[in-house]
Amino acid sequence: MIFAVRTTTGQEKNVAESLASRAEKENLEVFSILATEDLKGYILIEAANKGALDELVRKSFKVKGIVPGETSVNELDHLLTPTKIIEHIDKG
Amino acid sequence: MNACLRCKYITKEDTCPICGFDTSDNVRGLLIVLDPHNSEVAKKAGIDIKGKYALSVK
Ligand SMILES: [Zn+2]
Repeated sequence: MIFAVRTTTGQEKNVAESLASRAEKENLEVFSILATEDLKGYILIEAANKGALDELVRKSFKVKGIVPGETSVNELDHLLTPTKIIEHIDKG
Repeated sequence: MNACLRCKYITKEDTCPICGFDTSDNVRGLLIVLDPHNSEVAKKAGIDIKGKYALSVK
């Protein structure tokens, strides 16, 4: 399951790193964390379930909220295969 | 911060410690893979080794 959480713009990567180390330390079922310049003020967290996500962000003051609902991996196509975007830009 | 031009693994080195390819500091995005076996995102991105990756490297 992939969830989006809100954070401070410009801090996306730092927050992703700090959440990743917490997930490791506390042995949470968090599979991946994604931050990108193209998604300002948000990071994406892939976890086994909502409980693992709640546990991860519970004590973090850097996370301002969880976006309701979940994202599917198909919606991330454009982020995970960015060569397509670059090809478009190069043509224009 | 550099990332490998082939596998996008993030490293400080000029050569990728995973695949030996050259790295570049023209990097966008950050994908932290904690559990490559269970991660759909890692599968989609073709990543099977735990670690930090860029989304794009030029
Ligand atoms: Zn590499």
